[in-house]
This record gives sequence, structure tokens and C-alpha cells, in this order.
Amino acid sequence: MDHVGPELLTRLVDALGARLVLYAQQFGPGPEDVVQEAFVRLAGQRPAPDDPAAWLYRAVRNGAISAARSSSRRTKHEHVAATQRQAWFAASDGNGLDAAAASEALESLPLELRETLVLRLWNDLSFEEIARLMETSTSTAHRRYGQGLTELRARLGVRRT
Amino acid sequence: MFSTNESADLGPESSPQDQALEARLAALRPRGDRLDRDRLMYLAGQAASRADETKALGHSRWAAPAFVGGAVGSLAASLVLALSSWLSVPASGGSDQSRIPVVAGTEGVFEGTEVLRERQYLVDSQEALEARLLIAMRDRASGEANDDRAANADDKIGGADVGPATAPMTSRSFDDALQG
Repeated sequence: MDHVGPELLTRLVDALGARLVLYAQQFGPGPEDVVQEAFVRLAGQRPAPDDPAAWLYRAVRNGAISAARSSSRRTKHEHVAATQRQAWFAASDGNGLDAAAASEALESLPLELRETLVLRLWNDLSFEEIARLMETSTSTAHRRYGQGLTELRARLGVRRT
Repeated sequence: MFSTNESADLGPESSPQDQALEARLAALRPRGDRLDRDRLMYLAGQAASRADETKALGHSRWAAPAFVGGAVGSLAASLVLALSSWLSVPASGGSDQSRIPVVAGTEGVFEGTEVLRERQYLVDSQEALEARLLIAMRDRASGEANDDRAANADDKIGGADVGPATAPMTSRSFDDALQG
């Protein structure tokens, strides 16, 4: 594939845009800029990557980590992160989980657990794909997911029935 | 790889409670209005255009450097040839290079300088030769005159006037010597 054309790019934006923004938000503020930059860079790739979706996840992860390092020097980092907490999810549709509470509980988890949960639950990546992206083993990805789910249950106050 | 919505890899065995929690969490939808889609597509179009232009220029990326390099090389070669030919005249003109005068009115004129300098050198050499000859003849004449005076004195002292050994140098003999 020589390049990612407008049609494919539109489909990728529609399918992955919101998911990638949520993923980038786990690393710090400004996830929209990180994701936008990744899509723009993808459009300029010559030749296009073999797997544009995988390329996007890698680019977003690297960009988000880089942006987080830059923003960590700013004094307003914590304030910005707190004010954006409400915006992670759309309003819940009556499944019993409050979007804001879920965002808050998720944000309280360590980054590696949070990242695994977001990639698995809201980006539908397999554990092998998660392990490859996070540069770890599949078993570690499994373990982090289980641990994250357990801690999230506790924070949300969801009881085992 | 990275095909979303794939359910083949469910991971480790999870309890029904965990599956229920997963389903409730997954039901939360990431906000979809956070990306400025129009701006993103506009910037992506710009990036694609830049990439295409760069790719097109990449085919002829050596044309401009080759042209500039060739021009600079030709100019350098011309300068080297010009300097070498200009410097070769005094080097081959003899050991007395300091005596080669610069022809008036030819300074800075490259064309014809070599011929003019060679011609001037020949003229100058002839003049130098004539001057040397003149000096030598003067020295010889003055020396002979001194010898004559000394000889006459000796002769007078000895009582016999035999006359000078050679005829004294006159202006006519100078001209004859120069012509000869």
C-alpha cells in the first residue's frame, strides 16, 4: 500500500478516534492533540504501514508518553487532569455504572493496570496485541488485566454476587 | 493484527461476576466528540500533499547538486589553468625574474599578457646585455689606459718609448663593439 487515502483515513478516524483519545488520556493531558498528530503523520507515511491500526496505537502511545513527560514540568498538570476527568466517557446509558465514577476509579489505578484495562475493554485488543504494544509478555498482560479488574471492582463498590 | 472487536482472545478464565463487570464497563462509550474531525482531515490532507511533493522531489534529488558541483568544478579548473599559465612565464624566463617589468597598461588584463611579458623580457634582456657589455668595455678601456700610463712611465723610466700595447678605446670602437 503506497499511502493511506482519505477513505481509509476517514474509516480509521471513525472507528478508532474516540478509543485512541481515551487510551492517550491515560498518560496525561492533551490526548486530542496526540491522536490528531498520529493521524496526520499516518497520512504522510510513504509507504503506508502494513497495519495502519497497529501503527496508530504505537504512535499514540509514544506521543502520549512524550507529551506526558513534557507536561510533567508544568505546574498545572494536576489541575488539568482533574478538570478533564468527567470527559472520559459519554453519559452512561442506564447500565448501572456512572461514567464519572468509572472515570475516577479508573484514574486511581496504576498506569500499567489502567492502560491494560483501557486497551482490553474499550479498544478490544487481544492480550497478545496488548503485550506487543506494551512491550511485555502475554502472561503479564493477563495478570495486569485481572489485577486491574479486581481493583476497579473494589473502587466502584461492585459486589460479587 | 489489531483488528478491533475481535473476541477470539478472551484471556484467562474469568468468573461470571468478572464477565458481568467487564460487560458493564465495556458498555461505557468513550466520548466521540473530542476530535475535531474536519481539522484533522484538513491537516492530514496537507501532510499527504507534503509527502507527495517530497517523494516527487526525491527522484531528482541529485540533479541540483550535480549541476552545482559541475559548475563549481569547471570554474575551479579554469582558475587553476589560468593561474598556472600566468605563473609559468616568470618561472621559465630565467633566473633573473626580478628584472622582468610589468608592461604598463596590461595589469589585470589576462588575455595577451603572456605574449607581452615574453616580448618585454626579450627586450629587457637585450638591454641588460648591452649595458653589461658597455660596462665591461669601459672597465677594460680604463684598465688599459692605466696600464698604458704605467707602461709609459716605465718606458720613460727605462729610457725607451715603445708606446701602448693596444690602441685606446674610442667612441667609434664602442659602437663597433655593440654592433659586433
